[in-house]
Amino acid sequence: MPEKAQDFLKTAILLSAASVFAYYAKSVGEATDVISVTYILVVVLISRMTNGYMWGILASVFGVLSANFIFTAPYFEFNFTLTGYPFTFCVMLAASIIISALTQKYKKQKEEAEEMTQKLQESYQKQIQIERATEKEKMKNHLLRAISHDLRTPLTSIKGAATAIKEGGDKLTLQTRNKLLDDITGESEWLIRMVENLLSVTHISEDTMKVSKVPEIAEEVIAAAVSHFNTANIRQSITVEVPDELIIVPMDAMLIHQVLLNLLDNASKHSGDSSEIKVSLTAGNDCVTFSVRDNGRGIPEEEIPYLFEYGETKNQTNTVDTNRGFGIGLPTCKTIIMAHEGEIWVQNEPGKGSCFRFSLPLE
Amino acid sequence: MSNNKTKVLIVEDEKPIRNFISTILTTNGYKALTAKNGEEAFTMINSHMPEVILLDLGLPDIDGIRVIEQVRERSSIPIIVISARTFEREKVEALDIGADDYITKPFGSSELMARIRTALRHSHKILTKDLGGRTVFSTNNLKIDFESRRVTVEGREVHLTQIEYRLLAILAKYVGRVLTYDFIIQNIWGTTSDRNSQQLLRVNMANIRRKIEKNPGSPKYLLTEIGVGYRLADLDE
Repeated sequence: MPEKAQDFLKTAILLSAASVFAYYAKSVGEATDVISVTYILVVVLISRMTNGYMWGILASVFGVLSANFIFTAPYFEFNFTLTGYPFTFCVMLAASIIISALTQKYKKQKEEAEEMTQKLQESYQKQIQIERATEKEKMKNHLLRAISHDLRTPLTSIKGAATAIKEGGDKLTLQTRNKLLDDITGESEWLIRMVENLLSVTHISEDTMKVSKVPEIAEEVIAAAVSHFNTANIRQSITVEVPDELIIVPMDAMLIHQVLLNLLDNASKHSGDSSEIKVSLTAGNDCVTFSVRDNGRGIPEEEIPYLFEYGETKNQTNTVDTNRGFGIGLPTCKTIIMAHEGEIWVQNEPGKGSCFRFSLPLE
Repeated sequence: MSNNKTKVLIVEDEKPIRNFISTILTTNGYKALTAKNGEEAFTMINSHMPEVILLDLGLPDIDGIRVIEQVRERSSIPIIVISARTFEREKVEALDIGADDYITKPFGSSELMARIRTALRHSHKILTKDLGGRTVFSTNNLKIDFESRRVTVEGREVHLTQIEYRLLAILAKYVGRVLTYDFIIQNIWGTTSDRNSQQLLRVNMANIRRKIEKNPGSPKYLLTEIGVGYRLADLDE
């Protein structure tokens, strides 16, 4: 229904009701005052309930006229000479105008306030979007920088080793050849892990930064990662400790598998040849904690703040040979664990080894 | 004597990969045949009758899955799919449609040889109708007596429930090969796989592991292939 029709209807109904009430009051012998008071009340109500000044003014005119026409002698006839008549009329008119004005002001303020809230909300959301986009852009740039930096080194050694073998021909000793071939194998394995890390990140939804979780048996994921890792050339021994009870955790198993592989790889690379690696699982009330511990040389304290950040290794210059930084393995772990709404952290004792832990929520 | 060598067909569109697989096969005493697309693969299969097919699923002319389907219409030549680690669904589809096993890119020569040996062993069993005829299965220290339904590990008897026994028996029947969740569920419960039945399967597998493995967190026999299924390790080769 259009606004005007609604207002008309409200006005008509309220005025009729007032007239009926006034007529009834008059018929039971109430004073004439009741009639004008009733009309004033209705005028106030109409002004309050309708839009603009028009209906209130119309109602006051109608009220004054009908009070004159119906309720004062001579009945059902106009008599504009009654005492106090202009006064009543003025009061009703003034009341209607004042109330209408107040109502309009109130309505306008309310609209303004709503508009303001909406604008604020919009700009707030825009702000968040911009922040997110910048954050994403920043992460992407870091990632790209880390990748291109980390790709060049192994590719250089693979190409170099391959050409050295080819051009060296018979002049190379068997030992040299094998050393070069080991380098090729090792560097390619490193590249493969990097590609798998990159692929795993694509499993995370770009909009929500979340993963789709399925209930998995935690020890199976650990067992799969450890056996996968054991097939590679590693020098350390790995032991696994899982609780007797079966622990089922919602997760993306491929991604957690990747996290465990990265942590195992990290432990194997940075703890020294003679260290022991221990993988364990503990269950709490609302989360489970996986840990990968080694008893190697530990991590230099100053590197810890940079461990989980893409492309922010402390020693940017010292990347030529074995110390090419931590690559993208640990930052990928962080991205994956964050997408699971879990936490990842490291406990480190220089000289005694380090322990990487991550927890996943059970709900 | 090259006629007596076992023929392995490599279907792979990337030349470097074809090259190195051929080299590995030749040095290990196999005869390597190569095809760079689906059409060549069919020609080679028809004219050379290879004993094992190594199939890359991403071929330029036809979908690798269709190759498996067409080969399976006529023969039971073992097919080993070559697939990337992140394509779990692709592997499962290939296995469910008739591939015998898969190997994950990138792989080393020992892994490839082990897969080929397992595949050949199974195909020989089918040929000699040996499958299921055996009454005792053993791998390393795990023994299953199919007649008395007794399972022992290092001589110690293990008490399995009916379902657990059937699960272990089917894995033993296909020892060394990965069995998909769907395949196992179909065979044991006779239903199609859904979230609940997969959960039931996993819990049963975890229970078997607790009974037959020294350390269920680092199993020797019952291996999980994340996102694909289970494999009973072939430790006697």
